[in-house]
Amino acid sequence: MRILLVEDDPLLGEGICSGLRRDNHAVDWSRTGEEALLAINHSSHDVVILDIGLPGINGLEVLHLARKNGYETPVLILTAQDAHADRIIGLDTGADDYLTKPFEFGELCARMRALVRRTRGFTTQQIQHKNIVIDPAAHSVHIDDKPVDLSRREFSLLEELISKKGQVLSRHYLEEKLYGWGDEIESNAIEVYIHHLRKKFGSDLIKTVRGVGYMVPKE
Amino acid sequence: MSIRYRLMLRIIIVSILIVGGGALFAYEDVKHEARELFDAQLARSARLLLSMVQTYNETVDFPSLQTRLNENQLILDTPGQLEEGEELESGHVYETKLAFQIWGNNNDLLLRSISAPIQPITVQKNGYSYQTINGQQWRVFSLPSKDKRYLCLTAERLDVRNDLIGKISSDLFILFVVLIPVLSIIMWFALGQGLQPLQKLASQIHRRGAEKLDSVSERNAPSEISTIANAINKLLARLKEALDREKRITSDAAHELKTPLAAVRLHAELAQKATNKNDRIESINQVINGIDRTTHLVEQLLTLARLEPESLNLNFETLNLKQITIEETALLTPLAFKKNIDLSVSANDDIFVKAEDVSLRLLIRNILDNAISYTQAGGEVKLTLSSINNRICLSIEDNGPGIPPDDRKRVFERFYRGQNHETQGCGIGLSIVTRIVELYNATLEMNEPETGTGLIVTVCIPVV
Repeated sequence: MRILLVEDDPLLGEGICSGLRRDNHAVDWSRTGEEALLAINHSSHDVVILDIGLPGINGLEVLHLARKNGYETPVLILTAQDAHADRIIGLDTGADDYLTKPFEFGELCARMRALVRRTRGFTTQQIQHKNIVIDPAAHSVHIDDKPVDLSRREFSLLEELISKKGQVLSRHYLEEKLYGWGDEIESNAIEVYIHHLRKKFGSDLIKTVRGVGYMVPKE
Repeated sequence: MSIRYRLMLRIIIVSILIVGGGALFAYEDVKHEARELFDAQLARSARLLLSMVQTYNETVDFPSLQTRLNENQLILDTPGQLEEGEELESGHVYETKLAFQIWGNNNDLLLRSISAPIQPITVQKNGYSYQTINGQQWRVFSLPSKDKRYLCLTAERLDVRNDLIGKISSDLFILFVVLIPVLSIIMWFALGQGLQPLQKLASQIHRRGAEKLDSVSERNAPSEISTIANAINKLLARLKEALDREKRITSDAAHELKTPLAAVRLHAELAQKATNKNDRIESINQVINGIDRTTHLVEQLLTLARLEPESLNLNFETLNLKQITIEETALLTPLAFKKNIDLSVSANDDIFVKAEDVSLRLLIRNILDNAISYTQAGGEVKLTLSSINNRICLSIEDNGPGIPPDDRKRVFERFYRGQNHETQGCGIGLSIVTRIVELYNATLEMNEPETGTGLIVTVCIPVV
């Protein structure tokens, strides 16, 4: 998953970033409302973690502006403001979930997975395609109940392709999903990961659409 | 002693004095007037008798007149009635207390009332006198005729007039004895009624809980009560303000502590889950970092709380500002060193201010700490002390990014941290500064340096 984190506290931001990265997510970190709006307008994320108390434009204003411009990515508000009124305002402004500080990191991850699952139209945690079962929470992939060893980016790529099966995904789109802002992208990285996946799951799984991108055909 | 009792006591004392004094005056006046009236009557009777005697001059048959007079005397049925002083069908008992004598010029008693003695009542030939006859006090008037042939003496026993005076004074005494208690009872209730607004105010305050600090009602209250109510309301307002401030600080602090606590918790969780040593060490370092930051936040909050007016106990003394500035700068030098910031103090002479040591140091430390924190590595921070027109000014100038004029008001808000994220502060430093500036009646200005970027913070303390 590619996640946008909007948090002004350096220590907390750093913690969330490194935690999410250790869980194989790509994370972009904005420290102000202005930065967050730029990120929202120019990159695509699977989920946004948004703090309310930001210097400059606050989180609620960011959310309001984004939703007004038709921004559909699920947003999870992560804030110290725990009053019921604050929660109601947050959710009514367009947040999809609301978590208060201090929080458990595992819960934050589970809530984000739930949000992403909902936007992808799945109801169960595990994603199944033919004999392949992906468990995003456990970061595991099984073929016929046998575990397959995948690198962090291979996993993200497979998850992305299977959860959007039937759609052709461009190389640029996939790169965006796999890499955060600071990450260095090798020119043929996606081709390499596709090659690895085909070796592990068979060449039929992923189709190349020349000049457009890649897709996992529907069953 | 209640106000009601105090007022009662005063009113009773004053009433006794006034009513008693009035009664005494009335008594004296009645005595005097009665005497004059009776004296006038004596004189008038004497004049009448004398005139009658003179009219019939030679033809008066005194012995037969005396016989008639004796025949017509008042007959008393029982001696007891004499003392009663009551009206009778045939006359009045007081008649026996009135007497007259008419003397000829040969010292012969021509006529007398039955109540009069045979001897002259008085030897005085003219005017009023007092006489004692048979143990009884008499008031006598002597009136001689112009040709000195007759002398008329009219007399009245003093107990007659004393009876009247006694009667009037006993009436006055009864009035006095009855009036004072009646007045007291009326006053007691009137005072109770009059003090009711005070009672109302008291019960209004009495019924209040500690959380109810809205003002007490001043409506329809008499001016004395509304003065008290007003004073109470002012006190309540101050209390409410202090309590609200306390509540706000507590709530702000609780909120502000949540973020570093969340960070500490998160890093601890990451350390627990870390799959390799490097990740774990990094996370644990961040936990320590987070705890240090939280500690700093708590310390700053405590400092701010100590500067709240309720808990403040400032001990003003004469301090050498130059000395303190140098000491505080020295304390922060390691921080400046780390960022390779050029730190300098310029002050000519010793400057003395009347101030409190701890808060003065806090003021300098917080501004200087901000300047060093917000200035980029390799920058410059200058402290200048000067004394201008009864004011001592400390300016701290840096060549950091400065603060846009629009943001200058906001930086004093609690927990505001500005747009710079490289700096780890808790946003309370300038709140502390503001509080101390208020304490010293000082002024704080923020300006841009004439050349380049940066900020000059100038605090001026008035010399008392």
